[in-house]
Amino acid sequence: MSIALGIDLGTTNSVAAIATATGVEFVLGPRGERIHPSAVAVPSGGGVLVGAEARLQRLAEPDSVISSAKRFIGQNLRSPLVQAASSAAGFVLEEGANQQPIAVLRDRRMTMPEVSSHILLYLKRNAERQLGSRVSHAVITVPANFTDGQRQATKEAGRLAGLEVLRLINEPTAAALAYGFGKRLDERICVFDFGGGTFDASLLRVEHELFEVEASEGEFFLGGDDIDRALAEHLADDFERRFGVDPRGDALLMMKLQMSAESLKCHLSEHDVAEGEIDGLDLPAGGVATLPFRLTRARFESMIAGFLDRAIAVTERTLANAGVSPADVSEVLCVGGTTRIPAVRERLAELFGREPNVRIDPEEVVAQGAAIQAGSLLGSLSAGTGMAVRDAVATTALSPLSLAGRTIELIAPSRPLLLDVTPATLAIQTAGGFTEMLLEKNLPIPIERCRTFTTLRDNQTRVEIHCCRGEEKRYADNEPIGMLVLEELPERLRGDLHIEVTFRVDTDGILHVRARDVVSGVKREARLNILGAPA
Amino acid sequence: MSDVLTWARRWARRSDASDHELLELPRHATLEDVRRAYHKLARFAHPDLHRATRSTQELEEITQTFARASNAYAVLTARLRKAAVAAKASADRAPQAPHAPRREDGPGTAPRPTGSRPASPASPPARATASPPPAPTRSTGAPGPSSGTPARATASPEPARADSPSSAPGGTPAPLPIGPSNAMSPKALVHYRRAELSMRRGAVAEARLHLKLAAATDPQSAFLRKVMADLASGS
Repeated sequence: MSIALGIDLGTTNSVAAIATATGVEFVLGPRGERIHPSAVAVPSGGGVLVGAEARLQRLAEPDSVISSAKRFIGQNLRSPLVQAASSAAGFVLEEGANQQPIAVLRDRRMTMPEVSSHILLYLKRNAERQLGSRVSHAVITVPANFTDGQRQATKEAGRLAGLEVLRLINEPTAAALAYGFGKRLDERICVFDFGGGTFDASLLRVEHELFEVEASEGEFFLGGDDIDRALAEHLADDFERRFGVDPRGDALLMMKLQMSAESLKCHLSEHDVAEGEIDGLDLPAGGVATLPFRLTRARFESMIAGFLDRAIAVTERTLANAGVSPADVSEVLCVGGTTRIPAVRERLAELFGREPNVRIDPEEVVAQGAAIQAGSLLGSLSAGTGMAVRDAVATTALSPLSLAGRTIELIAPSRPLLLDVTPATLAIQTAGGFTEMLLEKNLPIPIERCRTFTTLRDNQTRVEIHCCRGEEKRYADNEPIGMLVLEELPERLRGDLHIEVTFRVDTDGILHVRARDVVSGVKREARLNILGAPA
Repeated sequence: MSDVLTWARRWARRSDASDHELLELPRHATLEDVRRAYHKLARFAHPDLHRATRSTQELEEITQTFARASNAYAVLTARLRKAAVAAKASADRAPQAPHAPRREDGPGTAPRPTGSRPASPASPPARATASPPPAPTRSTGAPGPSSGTPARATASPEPARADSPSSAPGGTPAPLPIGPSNAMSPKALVHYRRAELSMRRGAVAEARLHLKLAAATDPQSAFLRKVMADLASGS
């Protein structure tokens, strides 16, 4: 008998959980911590460190640590946003096969799925130690705005860690599931997911066990990391003014300032003013300096107002896309560590005219939702069709599973059903560099749609189908996903060849494209190769 | 609907099934009806519910049909929402001008989705590329007739179809395209859309009947009169 973990693989922190009879049990680290930093270190002494230990390694050897790898997983290194982010990555990135980014640590090269797989493996091993049995399956959460490449690379990371990924679910959806599961709700909720690296807003209709996403929007490079960086810049300015040295050229110095910035941020969520000094700063010219600071919450809030404006604008767009007014939303869920900042909650209260829900833990709720979904999918995997019978007996009945001498009861009241949506508008390139949309954003998944296209020139025997995501009319203004090629087509006059292109977005939110030549009767199929995904 | 695989295979054999048929909905289904039908179907056929008991191949068959049903749900929802917006707009205008003809209000009130596409025949896009990408001809899936005829600028030699009357003869460069959604009353549009659906299934007689109903509902629409004339003259 196997068990499945629910894993929130975050940009800065990761949380893993498993659904049991008494509720959701979290996977604990060696010191009993529930939240594990998403950092991987390769110290010069050899071996690989993960989690809190890897984070500490940042001070000893800043260039041996990879953090925020999620910002680069499954990305196309050539995309401008990724280029901009890679300069602030804190580690060297190089282009690998299929334009995927590769981290370079001294003599070691690691793909992003490899980096993430170390984190997953760490969580898996801790879970196995805790449960005393093997963990083989997992449900992993991803930001709702993750692209196909990012989703495929995340699945690949799971595979490398020896986990069968039952499903990728969107983080806001997972949060909604954790909040609404078993409550027999009938309401509309908005999930405001402001994490370490990404921001998502999702609107869901919850009807008992059915969770239907109505609309979802997000911004990929917007999170707590950006706030830390802005605050670190502020400290760097202070440092330069006081000591006449620009600390930005010194990796270790900047790392210390950034870590101080992070604790400053957390302090200001609970206090009106942060005052003190940062000591142990090594000056490049020699000697140790101490930097005093004083920052009020008001000053801090004015510094981060720009980030909050962007998040609120995305939320408003989500509501508009679903044709829902803020008054129609009966609950607002705060997810992600950044929502601990009081200003974030104030802005939400202002938008919705009601206080956001703060009873749930913003950093643990996503893993809880993933665990419930994992339990549900695996419960069905092991219990088979008996599920429905138990459902009929009692809604709170649990299905006991015996493993390794210990009874773990997987959740099985009524099974939750998630109806999620397509994360982006998907299109293909047509004549003259324009796009033809095949699937809009926010359609229910899994979904399949086909369209027929034709050739442009006489006797054209080869057709390239370039796929992209985005709503712009010109292909070049959208983000390329990848392409597929149909070759050895029969020679026909232009317009006589009919090529059927089928777009399917599966339950993991990953796009599959098939193209078929219908006229010649010969099946010539090609499949999409996604840029940035592991080859 | 006893067995999900039977259901999936039944619809796999019927690749021409309409969106209403896939969701087993009556013709006059409302937005709420559509939603309820899809939810009911999801509780029965969503692939998540079957991954435990079905083989990979069977699960693929179920997923395929359910994905088509999702598409039908998406198309119908979008269409009904649009109709609701149009109906509301015309209801809002009604008190001021109860007897004003509702046709041809211009795209300001009910813009066609294709209106923004650079479809001017005067400037066809360049065609010379080393390995040219495909040019769209027609839609076979269910992107809804109102989602427009794809990239008319490429002027494919496909015969003009009933669901693209605005691209029909001449190609006079109209700066503001007149389409079905802004050239007749919302009630007539309902009949017109049904005619399009029948046409796509190849049921010409049925399409003609719906068109007649549309014309009877909004006798002042020049657009409908023209479509009727086109249909009568042979196509």
